[in-house]
Amino acid sequence: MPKVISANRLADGIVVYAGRDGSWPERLSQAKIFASKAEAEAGLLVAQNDAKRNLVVEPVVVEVTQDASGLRAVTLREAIRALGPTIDFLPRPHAFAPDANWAPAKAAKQTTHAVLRIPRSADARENDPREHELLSTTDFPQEIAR
Amino acid sequence: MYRYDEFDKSFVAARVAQFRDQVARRLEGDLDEEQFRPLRLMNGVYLQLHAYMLRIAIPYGTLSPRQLRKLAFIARRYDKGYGHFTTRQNIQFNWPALKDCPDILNELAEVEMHAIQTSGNCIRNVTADQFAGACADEIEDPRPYAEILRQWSSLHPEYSFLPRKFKIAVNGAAKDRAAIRVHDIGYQIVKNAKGEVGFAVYVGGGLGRTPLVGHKIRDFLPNADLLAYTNAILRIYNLEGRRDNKFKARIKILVHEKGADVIRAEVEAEFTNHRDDALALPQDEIDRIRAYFAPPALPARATTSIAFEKRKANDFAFARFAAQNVVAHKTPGYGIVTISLKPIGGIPGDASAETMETIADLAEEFSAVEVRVTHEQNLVLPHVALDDLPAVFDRLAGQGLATANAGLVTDIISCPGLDYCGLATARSIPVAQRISERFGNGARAREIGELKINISGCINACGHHHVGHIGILGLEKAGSEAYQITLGGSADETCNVGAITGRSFSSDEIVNAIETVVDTYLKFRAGAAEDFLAAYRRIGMEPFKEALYGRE
Ligand code: HEM
Ligand code: SF4
Repeated sequence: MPKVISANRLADGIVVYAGRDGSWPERLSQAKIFASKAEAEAGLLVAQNDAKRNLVVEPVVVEVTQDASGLRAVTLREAIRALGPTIDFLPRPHAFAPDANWAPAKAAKQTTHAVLRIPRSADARENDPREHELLSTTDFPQEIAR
Repeated sequence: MYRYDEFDKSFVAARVAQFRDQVARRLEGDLDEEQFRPLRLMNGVYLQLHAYMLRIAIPYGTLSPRQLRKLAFIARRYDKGYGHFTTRQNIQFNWPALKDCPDILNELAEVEMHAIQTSGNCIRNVTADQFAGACADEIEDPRPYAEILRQWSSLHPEYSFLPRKFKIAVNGAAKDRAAIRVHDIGYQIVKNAKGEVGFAVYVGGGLGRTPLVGHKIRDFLPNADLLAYTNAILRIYNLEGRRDNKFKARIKILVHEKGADVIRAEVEAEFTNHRDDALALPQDEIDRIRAYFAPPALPARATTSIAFEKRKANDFAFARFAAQNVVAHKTPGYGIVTISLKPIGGIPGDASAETMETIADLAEEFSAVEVRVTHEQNLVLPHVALDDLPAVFDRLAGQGLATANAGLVTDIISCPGLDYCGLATARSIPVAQRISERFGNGARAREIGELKINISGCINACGHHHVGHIGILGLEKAGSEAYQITLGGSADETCNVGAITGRSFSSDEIVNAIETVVDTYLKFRAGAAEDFLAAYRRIGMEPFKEALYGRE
């Protein structure tokens, strides 16, 4: 099974992957792929060096699968680390009062954190008064990103 | 509420400066992760799946609007616009950068808040009944005692490296709303025959992998002896608690292994031998702290509010809200309003910055400048005039905050689970959301009545699943999420650890299984007045087992 190496970035804790050029990109799709266990272990030694250099913390080997759509983590835990929480965790955009403190860069980045959101049942949709609002809201990033 | 004096101020400021220096040294590489981890944990900073997590204490669950606005500011400025209120009267931010944490702590210090002792093997945030100082059934306000314990235990040199974490809760009313029997020490305020105020003392409760209900080791402790007795318990625990095995290190294991009678004798001996130590609380000191918690000067009102009654008669949604989310205040003409952070299909305990600001505004205008945080992950406006309730309701409803489900099937406690937590074995929030959507908050929820569903994403039990009327524990089975159900738990004065129904359910099955449990209750209950817990206690596990698994 192919493997990649993942860690959290020291300064902000964000999930990162050991990249092909020695950098630590945030996307699983940009991770360097190790074909065997031995290769991954060698890669981990290099990563641990980056931990010693205070770039990342707690590097680990992560199993992935590869198909036409790209890389995917095998375990749910790693899938969640790769894609973000599986829930609509961000407050609704319309719930924000205009505020200079709210950095748009941050908001934009979240749209790339697509979610493994559980599809809502037709039943729940019918009975939920918010559904109308949900369907008519165009500025709902996670929905669009899927 | 309590205000920092000069000492408190400089104490917290010094701590922020110290942590700033530690973070700088870590980022520059002078400290490695192993050296730094305990330092960041002492300041409430964890590393979770996606980012760092900062846990901030809300002592005994009391917040001022100013503090709540500061939390909203932090949510926007340093996080993704929201925070998560927990079962231990803390708030957690899920996305702060390590490099920003010293600035966040500095912001918090400005409003007399901090994250000290929200992690680590020390005495954690002291919790209390969320209705303290307001509810009609109160013996005495527990918060002055919680504050005294907090001051005494902050950075206490003898108790900064206990065998394991140590949690204390204080409850002041006959009804236990602080879950004191699942804490390391639970203090229940009581009055003795002479009318003096003191505490019944419970020791050795706790959840986690070994759930145990605390034992009463004293019927009446004079309030002056609060610290001396706490000290005696901690001395015994600090000496005898197991340091060889993390899973057996809590005081509950010590009490369980040695027996409550032995522990009682040891604590009493320690207490008696050191009784004349400097720890006796002078009455004037108790009074000084109590003055901070003096009841607000609420203008006198008629017991019956015409505005309130009128609206109730004409507006069903309002009447439901009043019935479900408002309880009696000790002052006539006032009520205590629970603001549910459990909208149907929402994330239990999460609040956006805007929600926090709305509630801060309401507290300022309508609730004597006070907000409370409940261990059930809701917020409370403790002092609202019934005359003002229609206005408060409208403002809440305008923000989607008027869900009338306090104590109902959708008022679900849920830990962050695998969506955030590094220790999780399964997700808990999506299960809570699906259950909430399944039952909704209409006629069916009303029919079901009082029912507490608690969900944890692993055996650590942060979601209190053992003491939910229905508990759900997320596990991992052969790489998939699996959920175990417990029934009959309760966290109040009839505290009980729930019993496991049997084999676990898959993520696809769990909501149906919960529905089966609820339907079984509806089928067998003696009448609408018999709530789930009472029915379970009467009919036992068998009918539920049969409904879930058939006759196996
Ligand atoms: C996300 C980071 C968290 C971590 C790493 C964490 C870790 C733990 C651990 C290891 C235990 C078991 C302690 C023991 O049995 O000795 C525990 C218990 C507990 N935690 Fe958490 N927890 C987290 C979040 C939370 C949250 C969000 C809440 C509230 C919703 C919470 C409240 C509690 C409570 C009430 C207990 C059980 C009471 C007891 O100590 O016996 N924790 N936690
Ligand atoms: S119960 Fe487990 S999954 Fe839930 S917050 Fe606690 S440690 Fe994490």
